[in-house]
Amino acid sequence: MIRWSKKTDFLSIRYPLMAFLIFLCFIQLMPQVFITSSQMDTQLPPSADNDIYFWMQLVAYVFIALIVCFYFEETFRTPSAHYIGTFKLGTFRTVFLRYVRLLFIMEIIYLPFVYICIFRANKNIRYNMEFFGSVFELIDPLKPIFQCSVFMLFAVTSAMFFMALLKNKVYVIVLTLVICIMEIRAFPILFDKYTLFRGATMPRADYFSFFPENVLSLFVLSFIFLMLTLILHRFNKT
Amino acid sequence: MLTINNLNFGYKKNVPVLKDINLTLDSGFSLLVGENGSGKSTLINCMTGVLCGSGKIEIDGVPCGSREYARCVSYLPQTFDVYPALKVGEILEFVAGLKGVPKKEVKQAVKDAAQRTNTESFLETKFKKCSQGMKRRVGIASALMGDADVIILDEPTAGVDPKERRQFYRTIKECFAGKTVLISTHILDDIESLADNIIMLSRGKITCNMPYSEFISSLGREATLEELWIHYQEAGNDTVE
Repeated sequence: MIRWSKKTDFLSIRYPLMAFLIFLCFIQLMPQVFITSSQMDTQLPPSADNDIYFWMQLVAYVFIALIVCFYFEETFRTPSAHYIGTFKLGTFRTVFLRYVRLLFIMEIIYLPFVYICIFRANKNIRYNMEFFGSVFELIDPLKPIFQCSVFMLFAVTSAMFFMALLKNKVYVIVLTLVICIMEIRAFPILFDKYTLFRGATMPRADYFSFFPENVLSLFVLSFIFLMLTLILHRFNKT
Repeated sequence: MLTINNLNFGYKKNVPVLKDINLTLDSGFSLLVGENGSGKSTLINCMTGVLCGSGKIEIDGVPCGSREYARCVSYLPQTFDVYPALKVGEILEFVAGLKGVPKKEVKQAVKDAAQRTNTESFLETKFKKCSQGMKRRVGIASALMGDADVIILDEPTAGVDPKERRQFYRTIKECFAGKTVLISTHILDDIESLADNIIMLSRGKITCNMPYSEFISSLGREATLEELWIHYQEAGNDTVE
């Protein structure tokens, strides 16, 4: 039976994947990331602010895009896409199944680190409670884990879509960097709570709900990008 | 046997690139020749199932576009550079998977293909570090995977120096003996060294399809390959409306 080798996929991403793992470990060595300022007001919903999403979403996005580019480079780069097309593997097996596999692997690698980050942020909140003698709400790890899983879905899908569209990993990386730069200043001004990686910069992250506005937009955008990618691959013959 | 009946194709409406192509390829080396823009690559893309024109393309009754047809064809593009950062052996394993070689037999298939193309000592070398001639031989090894009946090589000697080219001719003659082989080329040396049959394409039409021995004497006098080339290209120009 004809198949796309899993071993080849792994070999093609081993170096960027290793870099991503080192980056995730490196974040754990920076205590300032987990310093959390909390606010409790009976009139307002609880809120917490720290640098976790800046590192775990905004900066991580560049690494994830790099992995996706290496993973899908031969699928979308014109000469090799043309060659691979002659094997009649189909869009489902060439793109969709491999996308699901990559997404699964990335979530498995990434989410435990998110849990550790939230655990450490909660530790900091507990310390604040003891120090100030006040009561702050702890972060339920499930909520940021869910938000980050949607972020990963968006990061993988968007990078795959850009790769399908631009067919060159250098262009995709440049575009990713531009998005990250826009995310620091322009997007918060333009989209406010709908900012893609809300909490990475302004406005502060909503750690206390599963589906804040930005996560909802990430989810919808991921679906649109996935559909567009499948259509692009299906109809791109030359 | 590969047969093409009434194949027409155009990238835009009312701008045909291939016009009413009828062709039968039997075992042996057929050389597809023609000037730039004559439709060689388009014809090859139709034969490999990448493009779909009107008309019929079949291999022993198996229609083009099906998985079964894809298994019958081995295609080597002009620039074979899939996963250039991987080692030669890893690339061949990947191609073996695409060609449906059973997992247990992949290692052996890679070894056999490398042995036949004399690339055994390069299996652990990164593809991007191979010379142009070596890359071509790796391409041939990839075409050997899956034991296809029809082999299509798109300008396989482009960018290869004369010494490597000689070696290349020997390799493909040994590897593809008894198969139906179609080679698209610009290089007259390829015709002289390989051709059993010549197919000349000019402005999307076949102007000549005959055995090589007939081709070289087709002008009724001794003529060089250049003269024959020009003659049949102009024959195509004359018939253009």
